[in-house]
Amino acid sequence: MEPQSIACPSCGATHTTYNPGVITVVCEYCGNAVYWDAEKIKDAGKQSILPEGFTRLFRGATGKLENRTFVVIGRARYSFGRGFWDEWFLEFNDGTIGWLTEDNHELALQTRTTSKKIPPLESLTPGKKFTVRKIDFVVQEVGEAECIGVEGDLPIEVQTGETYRFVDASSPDGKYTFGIEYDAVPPTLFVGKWLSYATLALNDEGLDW
Amino acid sequence: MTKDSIGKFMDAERFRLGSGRQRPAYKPQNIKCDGCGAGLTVKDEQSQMVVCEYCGSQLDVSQTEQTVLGKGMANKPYFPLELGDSFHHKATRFEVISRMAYIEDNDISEMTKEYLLYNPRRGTMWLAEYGGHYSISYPAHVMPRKDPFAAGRGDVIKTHDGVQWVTEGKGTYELHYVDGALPWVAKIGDRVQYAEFAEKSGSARRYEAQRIGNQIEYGLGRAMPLESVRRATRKPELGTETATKPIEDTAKKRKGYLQIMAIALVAAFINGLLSYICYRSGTVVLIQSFVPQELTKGVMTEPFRVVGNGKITKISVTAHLDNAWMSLETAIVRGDGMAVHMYEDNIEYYHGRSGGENWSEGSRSGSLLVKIPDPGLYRLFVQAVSANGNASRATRALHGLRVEVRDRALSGGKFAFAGGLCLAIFILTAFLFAKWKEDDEE
Repeated sequence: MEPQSIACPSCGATHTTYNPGVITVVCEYCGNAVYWDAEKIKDAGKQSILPEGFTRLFRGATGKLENRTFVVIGRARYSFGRGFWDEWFLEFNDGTIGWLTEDNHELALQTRTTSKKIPPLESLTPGKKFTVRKIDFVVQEVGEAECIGVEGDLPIEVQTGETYRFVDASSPDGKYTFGIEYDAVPPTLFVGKWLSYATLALNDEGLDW
Repeated sequence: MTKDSIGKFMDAERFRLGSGRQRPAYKPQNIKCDGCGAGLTVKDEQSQMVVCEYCGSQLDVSQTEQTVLGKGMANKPYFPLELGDSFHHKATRFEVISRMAYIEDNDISEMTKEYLLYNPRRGTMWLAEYGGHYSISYPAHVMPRKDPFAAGRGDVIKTHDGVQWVTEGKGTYELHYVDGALPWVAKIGDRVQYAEFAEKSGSARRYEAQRIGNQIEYGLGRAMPLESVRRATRKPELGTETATKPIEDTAKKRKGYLQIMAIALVAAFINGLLSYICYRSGTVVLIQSFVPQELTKGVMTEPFRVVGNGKITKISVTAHLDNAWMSLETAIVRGDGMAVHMYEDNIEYYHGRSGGENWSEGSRSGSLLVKIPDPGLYRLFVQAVSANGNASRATRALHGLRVEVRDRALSGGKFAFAGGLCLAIFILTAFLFAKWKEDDEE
């Protein structure tokens, strides 16, 4: 598959993506989100552009995570009412992709997964245990997320203002995470592991600390 | 999703690491306080709440448009550390980016002050201070094996990493004051249910659980001596301005209670065992049973030999009483017919069932320890009267009696007393331990 060039339907700026998993690009010039599939390119309208920040990560950042080199190619920010968290979309040098969740300076590396048996939202409250593929998880948070901004390339269709109910859980030993997003039927699932903030090594820290 | 499945739609050859770009220069966000109009700078892009340093307005900056959440300046307590102060931990400099004060039960004297420490490469960490005692903690995800909020003071819980923790306390505290910048929105009056634990081994390690709305968070950390905090903050005078409140070392106190109970129980057992050994000690020199008619008239036992010389002789009697009593007169009679020792004893035994429970009172047996100075052959003279029920008088014996004499017996009285005392200490300590745990519940 060749690199894909897309012209922003709003301002005409050209964007090139290399990862065939990407289906959304937020134009960094005019802020429009562009979705596409094999047949058509859709203009999702103006999005909230996220400010570059004091966080160590940024779109285009490269570095190493668990002995794999990565590049940050996109980000979505979600509000949970009392605050927000960032979902950094990473592409690794082995071709795999992943989501690096950054919440209150805590990191979790997650990938999408599937499971036939997922408990309904109503049955889950903080502290409740459930099992997925014979692995126990305990609910840590139940809430509603609202997308408040996107940037870069993303493998999902997402727009500012979209909301969904979510459940965040961890394995009892505190090593693994399990996220359920009740945004579709069946829900979207993510499994991953908690990472120490210090394990994230960036090539350009860009910090004067 | 597995690597293989991702690989189906991923073209690794097209991966261009060079597509990365330079870190954009960070421009601190300048905002204007909605409360007083003062210009403020948001240093950390992840800040979601900023408190105006001039008027104390709490500004929610998590949305595009900032919102004033309230003012808490009037509640401002004294903080020995300022915003922007450094805290050095494991060769890393953290910076105080927010300060919070929590109170419990509206009691301002029960205030916990917390400092949010931040380092861009290490994330966030908390420094907490209560009554001049400091601790640090950082977010963790290892979970307790049982509900941490249901554990009472002194209860032991285990986390899934195998560590055992003693519950130090639990409750709900309320946010009384906040300033600086926080990576979440905090409002004065926010309530946090908490449970705190100290490592059972007595180390300085600490574990905590907090429930905030629909979220449970866990933290790991350790108590920090004041001297260490002074070194970490480069403030040698820290802590001299306020008196240090004595605080209880829960793990140590629990250990103390349990140690006393264990020692008392072991001592009670040992003394009980020694008492039993004494009870069964000696050589049986006589066993004889008598029918009621013999006891009414008075009867002499078979002769038995004692070694004398200050050794103890134990005389035990067992009457076949059933809701009855017996009055007994006994004399130790030397071989020449001289009574060398006489004694009287009353034994009674009642039992029944009331209120759905079985009860019993008294005993069917009694014993006497005597020192017979001279060795030789002796007999016992035994005479008794007895009655059933509550009859106050009796003119004859209605029940039989068994007499046993052991020579060279040991006195177990001191052991029995010591055992009883140890048992009482055990019960008292267990009661105090339970009360100590209950006091925290209140």
